[in-house]
Amino acid sequence: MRNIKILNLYNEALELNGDTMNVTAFTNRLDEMGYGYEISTAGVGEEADFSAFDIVFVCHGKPHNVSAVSADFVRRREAFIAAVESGTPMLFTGSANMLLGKSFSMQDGKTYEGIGLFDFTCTEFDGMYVSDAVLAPSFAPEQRMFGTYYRCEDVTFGKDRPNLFRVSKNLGGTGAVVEEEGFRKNNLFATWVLGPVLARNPLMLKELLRLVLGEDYRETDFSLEQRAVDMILAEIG
Amino acid sequence: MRLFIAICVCRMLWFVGKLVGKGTAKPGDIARALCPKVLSRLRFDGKIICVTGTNGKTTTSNMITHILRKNGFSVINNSFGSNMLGGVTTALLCGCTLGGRVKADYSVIEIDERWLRFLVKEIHPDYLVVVNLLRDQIMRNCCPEIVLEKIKMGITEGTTLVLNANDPVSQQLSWGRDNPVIWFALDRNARSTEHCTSGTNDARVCPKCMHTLSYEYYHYNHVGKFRCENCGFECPKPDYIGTELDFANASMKVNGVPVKLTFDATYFMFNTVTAAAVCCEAAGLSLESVLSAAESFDIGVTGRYEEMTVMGRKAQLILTKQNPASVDQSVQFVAEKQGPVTAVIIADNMFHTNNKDVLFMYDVAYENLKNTDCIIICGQRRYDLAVRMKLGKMDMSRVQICDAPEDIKPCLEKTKGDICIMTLLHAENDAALMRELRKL
Repeated sequence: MRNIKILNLYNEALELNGDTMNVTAFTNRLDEMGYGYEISTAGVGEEADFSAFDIVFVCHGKPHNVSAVSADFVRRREAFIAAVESGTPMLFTGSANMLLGKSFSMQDGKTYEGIGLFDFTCTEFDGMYVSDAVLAPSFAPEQRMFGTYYRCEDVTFGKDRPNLFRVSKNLGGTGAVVEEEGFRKNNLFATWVLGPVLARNPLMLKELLRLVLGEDYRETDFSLEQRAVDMILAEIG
Repeated sequence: MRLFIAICVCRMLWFVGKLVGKGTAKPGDIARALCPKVLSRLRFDGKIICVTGTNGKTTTSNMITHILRKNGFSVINNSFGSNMLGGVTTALLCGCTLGGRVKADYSVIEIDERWLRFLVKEIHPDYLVVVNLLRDQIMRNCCPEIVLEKIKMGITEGTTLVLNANDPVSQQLSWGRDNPVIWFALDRNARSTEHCTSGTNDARVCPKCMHTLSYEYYHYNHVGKFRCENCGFECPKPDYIGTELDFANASMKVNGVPVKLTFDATYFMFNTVTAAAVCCEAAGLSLESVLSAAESFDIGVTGRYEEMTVMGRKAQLILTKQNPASVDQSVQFVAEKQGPVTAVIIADNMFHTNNKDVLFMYDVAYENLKNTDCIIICGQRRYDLAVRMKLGKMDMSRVQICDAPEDIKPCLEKTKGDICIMTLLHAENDAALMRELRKL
């Protein structure tokens, strides 16, 4: 029986708005398919060998906590980028994205280094972009997902443009209208959509399960989850 | 003259609004437009007590008001209205003289966490009570840390802070200031747990050094007795502490003085200790007279808990805020009920933020309902809630999804025992569903 090794990096510092349910949604499906799994965690100063894991999760967190883990993440830059290049599936949600850019500046005036995997910088401001959104993922452009944004940072893009989602509809709250969102590099998915993006979107969960399991992927019943997301999408129109 | 006109217009509009059952913020908003910074023109004879925080501010401010009134003081509060600037303005302008003098011994003001910083530009609180800071509606409040920063902007020199010693988040409000601080806390009790059984814990790491925060016990969420083994950050010694909590008899002791309450929830006992601390400190009352008055405070006045009959069965309506800690408390309340219980959960969209999203559901420990005989889910976001229950590996054969209000009755007919109806304040369609339930 396959035993899937999962790394939930900075699980104590970065966890807000139901993000841990992404890990739960993933492991529940492994259970259903009859596979075993092992969840490892690593905090600041703790070692984690990225090459030893089948998938890595880094969740949305409080701005203060993201800045507090940034130096530690930069320390892991080479090993992390090597894992991305080798195709390890990864999911970054919400504010964890800031760690992947070149740098981010907080309201206290301090600037923190990112690992520079993507060419963007972030600047925290005294406000927020909030919106529900309908998303067309690049891996299934004809299909739709639902997501929620909550961002307290302005993002300035350099040569890299968002390529994970085409945002077909923003609505509600104080949403800033964007057309493309999130990054994908090899099997790393990074999106400002936060919360239980996998738990609520079978489309994306299946994609990550397929990437991790390859030929061992088995179909399971997603009818309840699909009905939930279809209802929201139908309401939005 | 502007002040006089603003007061007259505000009162007139409030009176008309009362007749037609409309909200209470508008009169204040219009008064503010007529007379900017109108509250700064009022003259207060008595002390100003502001109550803010995530969960429990309405109950706490109402209890403070009740205790003070019972002890012979005159009190103005905004219990009838909104807790933003408009609502506070309405309450104060309706309670002052036409010349703008607030004669009450105490003005007890419940104020939204995000609005405190604006309120203090016009009035100077003598006491600022922060009941707790928990993960709240993301669409309005992002995360506790953001709210913490907004409250910090509202702390004025000389204001006495009344803070929760069991809350590592709101404790940070005392850092780096000279304001006097009164600490309140609850002792370990039968409901305390060694591990966090709530859906969220916003203080898993120490806010000072980011190392893992150790807990001796949890009351709920991140509220409990904590210590950081790395830097020594810990619960301060409480000035007022609830001990010997007896939930079966809804009683406890506050600093050794016994009190019997009308409700047995942990959060209600927290509210009682908080109100006792404020009343003793602000009014110089003895604990005995404060707690004696607290005994007659009825939580029903908050309108968030109601006993009713549904299909001839005993039913309890529990209204929660749209945040995980509040829903967790309701879940715990239902989970602890003896005998057969059916939970009816109305899951809906956010109303006041116009968002479809209900992220908070994924932060609630619905798993604690695993022993509940039957869970009936209705409302617009019923399938999202079912997804959440499935993620928690609940026995889905006990979960019934009602697609239409008329489906609730046949579902209930198949169940037995008490009915607990959990619904959200300010949700889109809850009122319509509640009307259906009341007909049964």
